[in-house]
Amino acid sequence: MIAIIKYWRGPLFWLALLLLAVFCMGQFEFLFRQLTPDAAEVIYHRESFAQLLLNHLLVVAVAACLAIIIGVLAGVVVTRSWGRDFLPLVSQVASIGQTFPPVAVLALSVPLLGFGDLPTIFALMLYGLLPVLRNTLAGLQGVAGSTLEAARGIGMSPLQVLLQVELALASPVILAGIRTSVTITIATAAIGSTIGASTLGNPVIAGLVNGNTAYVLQGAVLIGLLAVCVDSTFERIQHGLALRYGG
Amino acid sequence: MSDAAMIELRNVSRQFGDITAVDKLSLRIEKGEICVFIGTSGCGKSTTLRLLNKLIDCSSGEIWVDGEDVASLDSKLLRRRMGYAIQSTGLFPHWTVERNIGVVPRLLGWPADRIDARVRELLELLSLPYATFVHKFPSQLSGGQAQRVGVARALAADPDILLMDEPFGALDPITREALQNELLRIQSHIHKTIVFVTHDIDEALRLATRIVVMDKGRIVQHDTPENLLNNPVNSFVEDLLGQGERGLKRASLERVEDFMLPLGAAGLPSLSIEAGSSLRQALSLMLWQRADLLCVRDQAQVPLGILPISALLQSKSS
Amino acid sequence: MTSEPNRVVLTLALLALLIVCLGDFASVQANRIVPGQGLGLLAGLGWPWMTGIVVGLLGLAGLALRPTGRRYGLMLGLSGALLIQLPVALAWFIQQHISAEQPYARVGLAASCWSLLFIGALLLVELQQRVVAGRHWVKLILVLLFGVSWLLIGTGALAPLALLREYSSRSSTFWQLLYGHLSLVGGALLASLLIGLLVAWLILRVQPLQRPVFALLNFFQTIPSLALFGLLIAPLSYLSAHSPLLQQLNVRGIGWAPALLALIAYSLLPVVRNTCVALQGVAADVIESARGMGMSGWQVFTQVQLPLALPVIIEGVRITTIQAIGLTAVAALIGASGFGSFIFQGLGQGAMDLVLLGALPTIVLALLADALFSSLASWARAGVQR
Repeated sequence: MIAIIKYWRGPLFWLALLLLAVFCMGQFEFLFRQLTPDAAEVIYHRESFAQLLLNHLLVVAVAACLAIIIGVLAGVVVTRSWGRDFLPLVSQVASIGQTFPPVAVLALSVPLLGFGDLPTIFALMLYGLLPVLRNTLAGLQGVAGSTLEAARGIGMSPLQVLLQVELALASPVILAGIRTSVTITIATAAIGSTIGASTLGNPVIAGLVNGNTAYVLQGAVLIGLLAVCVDSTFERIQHGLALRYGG
Repeated sequence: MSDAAMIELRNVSRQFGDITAVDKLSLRIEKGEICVFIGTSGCGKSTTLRLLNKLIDCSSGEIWVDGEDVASLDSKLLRRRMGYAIQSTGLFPHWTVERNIGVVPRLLGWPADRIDARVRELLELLSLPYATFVHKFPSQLSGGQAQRVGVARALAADPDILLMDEPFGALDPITREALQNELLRIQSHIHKTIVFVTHDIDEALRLATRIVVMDKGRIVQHDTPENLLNNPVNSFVEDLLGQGERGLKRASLERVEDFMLPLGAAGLPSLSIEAGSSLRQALSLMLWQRADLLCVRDQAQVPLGILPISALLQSKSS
Repeated sequence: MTSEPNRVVLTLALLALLIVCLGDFASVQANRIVPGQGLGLLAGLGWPWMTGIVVGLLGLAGLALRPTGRRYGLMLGLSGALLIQLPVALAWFIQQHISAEQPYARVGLAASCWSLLFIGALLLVELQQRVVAGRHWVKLILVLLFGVSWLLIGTGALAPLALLREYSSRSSTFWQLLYGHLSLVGGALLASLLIGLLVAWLILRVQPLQRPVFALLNFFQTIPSLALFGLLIAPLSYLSAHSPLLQQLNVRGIGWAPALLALIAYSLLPVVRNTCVALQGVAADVIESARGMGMSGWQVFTQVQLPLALPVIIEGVRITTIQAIGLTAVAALIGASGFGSFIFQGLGQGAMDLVLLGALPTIVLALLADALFSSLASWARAGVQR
């Protein structure tokens, strides 16, 4: 038990700070008062921080899960012998797509789907797909030919080769792609406030519009803590995976 | 010759585009023999091996394994019946030695305790101490150890047939020789049918029951090592055997006990050699010690006979 | 010799055919406020034009069934033609549906037009690698596409396009924003290069610094842009309020100052990481042999290490630039000048054409930066090989 806590102390620390910020922001009113002495309200109250955090997480989770499923599936399909025709196109598109700024993708999803959570999720999914896809391709193509030959030679079925050998060996690289993807998704979801998604970006945008620096700071702190918390969790998972494979 | 060969190829061909890698090959491999394919790179020997476990399909012809046409067999099930070891080991880098060796039994659905016992037995057989190696990852093994694990994996499900594609090709000469001896020792216990691909003629002569010399997708000669040395069919086989060294190569295949003479009344020579040694070793000892007579003893140092240098020039006595 | 069908081209051509037949090509709006009315290919362009496009796509699919070297050339030509006819088709559409008495009427691109553009681009990507000198042909097609568009814009034939209507009512702002966007990106790039190279040099000398420096730079990358911008506002307004010098420089809590600082923080990681990797990646034996030939430390650096490392460093600059172009668009939220202004204004007003006027140039800038630095890197790589 102690060993587990010790292993996860990084993410736990950030999680504690995040929860503290979410539930005890009001306690720090005197500090924020210093920033905006003239404002009528110092603590953002339009929605509760917990609600914003939950919705932010929900948007990110849905988008990231879709991105991971589609990205890994696409990566697998184009590396099978029957899908290999599409490999050059897909890998080119994945690398060209990553030059598109996330904000632009977010903005362009509005004419397609309108305002709200849905276009945000769609844009995040589309953009988050690229790092997952790219790393899946890199990971699968990095598996040594002799390993694949041996796997087939000892009588594994194609599905067994894929699951037990290829994906297992590529998993550290794929996980790195998922980490990048989730980091971008969390950041872009915050900007999603501008297209009507209800996320932790709301206080920041409201603060910027009303000139209330305290709001901006509250939103910024929460977004930052959430990102660091999730990222440090991924760092631990990657670390664990590396240990398991005998580093 | 028994009626049903373990493996039989009938007029087997394989084309890659315009290139014919294997050209109308017909061949019988008997049960319990070590059949070694040898030839230059690109002669079709590895392709032939891959045809046997259907990693590659034949363009034409038939392959029969243990009385069944492989075309009618499911390739996965066929492969699980054949051990497969390759030069780069192909060990799965994300699995421990234990899991690597146990992979085929696991595929076959063996219970865990039986797999565990089998892994123990195989590590023992390949002289890898169980406690030291069982939880290691392939990246933590030396080249020779990894190759031993590779062979153990090939043997795991106790297949009748073992396919080995230059398994010792990447090893240093000392380790390679140790593993060759190991393979011969194991084979004397397990009596598998082994199909072995190599480009090293010494390895072929040492291991083979019969050797298949291949060139440009065809069989040039299919014979026992002795016959190959004594009667090479053409200059290609002669070149492969290495013209200048043929005498020594043959001598290394012949055993002292087959050439020794009975103990005479005269006293025993002071230099001795074991009965199981090769003529080559006997000759080397004579040259080094400038002696023309050796005493032949068994493992318990009991004298069995004498070996004068003239005996080396006779054809086999028995 | 029989050849396998090219399933990629086949799929793309049939997909395009489906969308072209089902989707609207363009929409007509009487003014900026009212909703537009979408028109399909037949209603919008008439049957001769529609036939042309359909036959072109069918031809593409037909050629893809039995591709040969020559047919790939034809396919590339057909794909190019499909793209190049788009601006002409739009001009034709405008002539058919907008009269000169409607100065506020505007035409927006709709699904099938966007799809043709997008699938056309995919076709170019796919075919470029199948045709001898494909890259050059694709470049020629792009030049022709932009040339034709430019020509049509010049004659005013495309003026009722919604995007151009938005542009013409804000052309001076547009160029100001371009200037603002580029100067922020350029400033951040320059500063991060200077600081980044210095930091890289330092941590290569003082190895124990590597871990903490990379941890810090990684940490910056993890903080979402909106958060970092927001976090910088409070301290900067405080500093500005207490320093007349900063006030003179127009440094305030919002505006260019927090944007630039955040951009530099984000840009440092790619620059430092790639520089370190590149310099450390020069094989030890190469350096050893250079030393062995009697080169001084400086000569080893300038003649061996730097030329070998340059392509990787340029790759770092490429990543930095693309990232900075996107982040600058976000920085519009904290009042920094850039195409983000159009995007967020447009989102605020629900004016999608204005959003496009902000988003498309941002994407184009990123693609141009990508092309520029990619070719610089390959030029540097070729220099190494020479």
